[in-house]
Amino acid sequence: MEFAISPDVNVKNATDWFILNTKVQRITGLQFHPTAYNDFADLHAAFEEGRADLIYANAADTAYLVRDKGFIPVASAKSVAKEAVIVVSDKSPYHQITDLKAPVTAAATSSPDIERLCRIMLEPANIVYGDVELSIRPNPVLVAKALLQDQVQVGFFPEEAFDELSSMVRMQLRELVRSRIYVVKSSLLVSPRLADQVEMLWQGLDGLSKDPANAELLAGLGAPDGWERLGQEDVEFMIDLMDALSQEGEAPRHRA
Amino acid sequence: MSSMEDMTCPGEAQQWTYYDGTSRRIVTTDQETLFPSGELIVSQTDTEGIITTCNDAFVHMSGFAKEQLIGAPHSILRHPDMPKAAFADLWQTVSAGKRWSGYVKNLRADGGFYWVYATVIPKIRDGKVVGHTSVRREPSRDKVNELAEVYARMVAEERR
Repeated sequence: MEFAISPDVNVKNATDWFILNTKVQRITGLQFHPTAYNDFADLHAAFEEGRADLIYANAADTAYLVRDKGFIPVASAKSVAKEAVIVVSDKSPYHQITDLKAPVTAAATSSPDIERLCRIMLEPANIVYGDVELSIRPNPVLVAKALLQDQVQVGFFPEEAFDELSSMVRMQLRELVRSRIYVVKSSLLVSPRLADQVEMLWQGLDGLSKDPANAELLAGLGAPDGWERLGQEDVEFMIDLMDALSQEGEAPRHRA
Repeated sequence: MSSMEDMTCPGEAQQWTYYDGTSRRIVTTDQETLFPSGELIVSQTDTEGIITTCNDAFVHMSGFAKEQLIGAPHSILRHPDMPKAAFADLWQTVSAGKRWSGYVKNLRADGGFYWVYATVIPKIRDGKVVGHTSVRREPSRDKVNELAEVYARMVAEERR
């Protein structure tokens, strides 16, 4: 079995995901081979070639895996939702979203969920999909650098990544808008091959959440309050919501 | 108390008849509530347009209590400045299983209003349309101003 680790999970804690892999093996009694993917093209190729049996997927990939590949939702991080922040340099003339005019240059890390949330937060300025010239940077620090070096007008950040930038960097940046949507989450999914393991896996994850010895691990995985059960309707609702937020002209990027 | 009972708040009152022939007294004021940046209003309805779920932003922006919204028809938010043709287009589109997007002026419980950019998509479960999911986001003010004029002309035409 293959445990696919998406590029947009907290990659600085890849080791924690490998530890989780070991715990999942103990829970299920099955062997899992963990792979931390660095880019989405490789991850999506793994989907197509059946090399993903367990994955903590972003909302865009969740939509594809659940609707098109029959993956089954298991859990999500309890009380943790993905929120996004649009940021400018402190020297920028833009003080609110509606100060921006199309076209706009932007930098972001490769995270389709955050990109979608940020793009819709530009809409009040009449900035539509084709108006954004987006350049992808390897990490949030380099998105900040692109802003500080005046290479782009706006930066798209996951909320937690922006909040974790050093105070020196943040002092030179200014937040224009922050999402408060609450329902966009990454989802732990299993392939149909593991359908009969779902309840056992959930019980095991729930047990991990309840054991204080796992607190550091869970925090490293981005689930400081543990896991919560993710049902089919929960994930279908999130997929509908993300679908409703897609913009005209947007490419179906979640497909390989 | 039914959410579709007559509105009794201060403001300009009129008798309003809905598409299904039901009628109630509605009250309107010029008080606009601006859409909060970064938020979304989310709700789901059954196939008859009855609200089954809604989020806190919906409650806040509409001015209704959650208990009043759940079980009420989505038309509880219908503002008389919205042309009938816009909603006919919405229902024709979503009934065909397609996505609809547009700018909508909604009626608040206190007679005020708020503008949204709405997207409605069919809620498909096990291959069947079991309702609709509606997501409303902050609209462009330029588009709101443009559409307010268009809708005013359409409403005037419909009332001739």
